[in-house]
Amino acid sequence: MNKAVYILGIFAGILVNSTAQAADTGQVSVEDAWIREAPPTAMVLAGYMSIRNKSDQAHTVTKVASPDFAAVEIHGTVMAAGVARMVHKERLELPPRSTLRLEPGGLHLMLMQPNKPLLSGDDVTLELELDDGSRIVATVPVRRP
Amino acid sequence: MNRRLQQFLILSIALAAGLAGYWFATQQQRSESDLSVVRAAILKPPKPLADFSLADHQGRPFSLDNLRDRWSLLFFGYTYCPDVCPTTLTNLKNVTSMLADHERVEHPLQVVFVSVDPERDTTEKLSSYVSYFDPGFIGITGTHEEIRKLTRHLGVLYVKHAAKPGDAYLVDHTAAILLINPRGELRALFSPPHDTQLIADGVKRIRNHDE
Repeated sequence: MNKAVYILGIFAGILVNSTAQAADTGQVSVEDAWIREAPPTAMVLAGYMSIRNKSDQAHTVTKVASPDFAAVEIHGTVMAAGVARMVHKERLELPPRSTLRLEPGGLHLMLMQPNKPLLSGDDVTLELELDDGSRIVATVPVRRP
Repeated sequence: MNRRLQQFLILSIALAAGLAGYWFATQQQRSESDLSVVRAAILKPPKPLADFSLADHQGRPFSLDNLRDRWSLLFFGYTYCPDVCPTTLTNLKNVTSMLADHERVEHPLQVVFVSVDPERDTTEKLSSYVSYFDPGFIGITGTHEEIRKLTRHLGVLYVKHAAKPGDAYLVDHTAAILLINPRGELRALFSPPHDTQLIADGVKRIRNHDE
């Protein structure tokens, strides 16, 4: 009996963990999210993820926030004639049945002024707001690439 | 078999093997210094730079002399830059690791990160920033006037973005990695997106070719 409870506990743990890894509204999910560990004095960190729209309707990410940072903005790195320029994005469009990738050198979250120094192994919470009012809350690991 | 014929055959085989070995070695050497396959803009002849007066992340003076007698990989950025700069410095760390086996004592390779944001990048900030990626990396900055002495000759651009009030401003900057030769001249320019394997291979070939 004790053993059964123990095993059940492990399964429950795995379930909780996996939902944290792939935060979901049922229609839109956040996958493979990570925050780039930065030097200890860094005031700005970058966040990356895949946002998957599994539904037949278009969706829009209208806002990203985090209780672990003073402010979060969506940025895109644009290269023009070898010059890297940051472009501030107000929203992210998610066409039906598509995956939008935020990755190094491209779209990314600009996470400003962490509440505490963040190291590889720490987790932060990110909240994505969609145009239909739904929210995705994701627990995202900090790691060093 | 005739003894003389036997000797002749052995000598012929030895000679052929020797010639094949020599041919193979020169081919190998030639292929390892072949610049036609390098994925970079190579300057022929290399472009001389003007002297400049900046300070490194430990507060020591850093001028054109500090780029002489060694190979340097230069990258321009700022520590508030969350995406391109950490990505590139991580790539540069990987490039130096890949080249560690080929490191020459006479003309070693150094990585120099030039901050174009001296207002925010203090010596302390620069120090903790570059050391995070590799304790051997060098960070330099100074007045805009002195930074421009360096950027002007390298074709590097940077522009401070007017930010909304209260916002942290951003700086647009050339994202290329620049290779400086031991005479302090611009030798090659690796444009983004950066492939660490191709950069390491390019640096190796250019050094083999020039030295």
